[in-house]
Amino acid sequence: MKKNTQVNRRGFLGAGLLAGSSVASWLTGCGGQKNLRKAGKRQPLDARFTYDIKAFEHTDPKLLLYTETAQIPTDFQEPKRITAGSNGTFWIGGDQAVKRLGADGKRHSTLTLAATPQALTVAEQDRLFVALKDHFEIYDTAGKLLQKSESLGPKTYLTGIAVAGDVIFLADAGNREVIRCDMTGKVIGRFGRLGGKDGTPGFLIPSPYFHLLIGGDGLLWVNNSGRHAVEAYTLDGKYEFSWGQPGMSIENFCGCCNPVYFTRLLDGRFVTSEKGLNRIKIYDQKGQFVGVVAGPEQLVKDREQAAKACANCNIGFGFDVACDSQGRVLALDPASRTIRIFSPQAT
Amino acid sequence: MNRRNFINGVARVAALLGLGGLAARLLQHAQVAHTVWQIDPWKCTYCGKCATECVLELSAVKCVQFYDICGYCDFCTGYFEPQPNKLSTGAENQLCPTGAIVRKFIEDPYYEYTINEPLCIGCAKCVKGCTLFGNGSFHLQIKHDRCVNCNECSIAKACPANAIHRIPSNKPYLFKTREGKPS
Repeated sequence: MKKNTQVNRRGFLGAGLLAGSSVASWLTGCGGQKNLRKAGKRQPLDARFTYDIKAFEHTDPKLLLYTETAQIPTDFQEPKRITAGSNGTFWIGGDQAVKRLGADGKRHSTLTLAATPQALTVAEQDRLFVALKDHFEIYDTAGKLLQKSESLGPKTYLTGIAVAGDVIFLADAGNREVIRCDMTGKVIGRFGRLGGKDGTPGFLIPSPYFHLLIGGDGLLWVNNSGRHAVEAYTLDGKYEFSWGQPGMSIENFCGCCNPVYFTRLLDGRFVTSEKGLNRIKIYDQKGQFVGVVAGPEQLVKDREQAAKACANCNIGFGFDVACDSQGRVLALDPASRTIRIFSPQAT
Repeated sequence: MNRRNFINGVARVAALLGLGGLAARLLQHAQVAHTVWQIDPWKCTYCGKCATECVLELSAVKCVQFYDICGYCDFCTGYFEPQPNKLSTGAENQLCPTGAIVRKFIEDPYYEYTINEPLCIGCAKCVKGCTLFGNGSFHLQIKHDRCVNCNECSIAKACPANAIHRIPSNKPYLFKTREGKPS
């Protein structure tokens, strides 16, 4: 018997509809999902889902002791460090160079380096000490290289340098320790490693902001940012004492790890700089809060614009600070790429 | 030409057109399948729209923790409220409104933070806290086990930072690195 292979009209239309709907469903891709959001206007998230630190972004005007008086462009794409030199000069490091500026902000000289300068300090005879990622270099005022150390190790990430006599102190954020070297780069000692048996609290450095300086009191001062503290050490690495407390309120150090930079005024008071909630503040010689140089609203006008402009903003950016002989505070702004000068308010 | 022949002819032409359209669409799908949507963590401004703009009821965007750059902080600003009463796991101290971050003691003074993904809605509150103060190891990513890879991503359309774009499907995630933002 001959098999009827003819498709009737009903069968043809039914098959067509079935195939059409299957193809349409497959092509849209989303048709099979059961967890699609319902159509209609979407509601924004409520306040519980907003990270809100507005309450801390306003500085009480009574606490402000300084006024911004000038801005000097650095002409760096990535300005990184600033330090004061002699006779009112100051040095700024960034990109792959260090520039020496006069008190009027005019450039005196430029020193080209092989890599980004991580930290700067100026010592006797106006010698410039530059810490690069894993070694240091010493230059005279004319820019002549006097000394270059060997690499201090593959994990080394230097972020601070200070000099006392013939000893160089280097803050190594990679290994979270301070290295003591002689002028040739020979390591004399290391201290401050967490869990070490040198009697120190141990450095907690979550992000690469690890700074140190020699005070007029003959002590080595180091920021232990993960402990929200500024710590004092003898020059042979013995822990003495520390000051600083965590907290968002103005007298404390905010966030996970602050201060990121600090310097000292001629009278020995401390100037600290914080990231996250950018604040530059003054503490007395014993670590008691004195007042504010500039608060978040003075330092960062538009946080989003600043974040776009600043290459390092993804880890939170801080303003490196230096002081000149007039008691002014010089803040290096990585977002606007300028040196912002804050002068004491007339009392 | 009788009616049967006419309908037959029309059906054949329609079938051919349909097949052609289907082939073109398949080709387009094959090309799209080589790319997937992803968030550039360097561009993200943690606005919170990823949680509300996805076509899925529970967004395909989740917070991810990139341990390589995490500071393992005791006071993690992605985990704790900006001004916590105490550095403890008490709900009142936690930043995440859905409790999607787990804090675990590793060794003094380090703590590990992991994301409980089913609880995360991609609001980016923790990402902002971590990035603003810390290293930014928390960041948002589109999870491809959830994303339906729409032709037009509704989150990308709403993103104010233009941070969402298509990337090759053989490298479907974008993580930050210790070296910083690629030039």
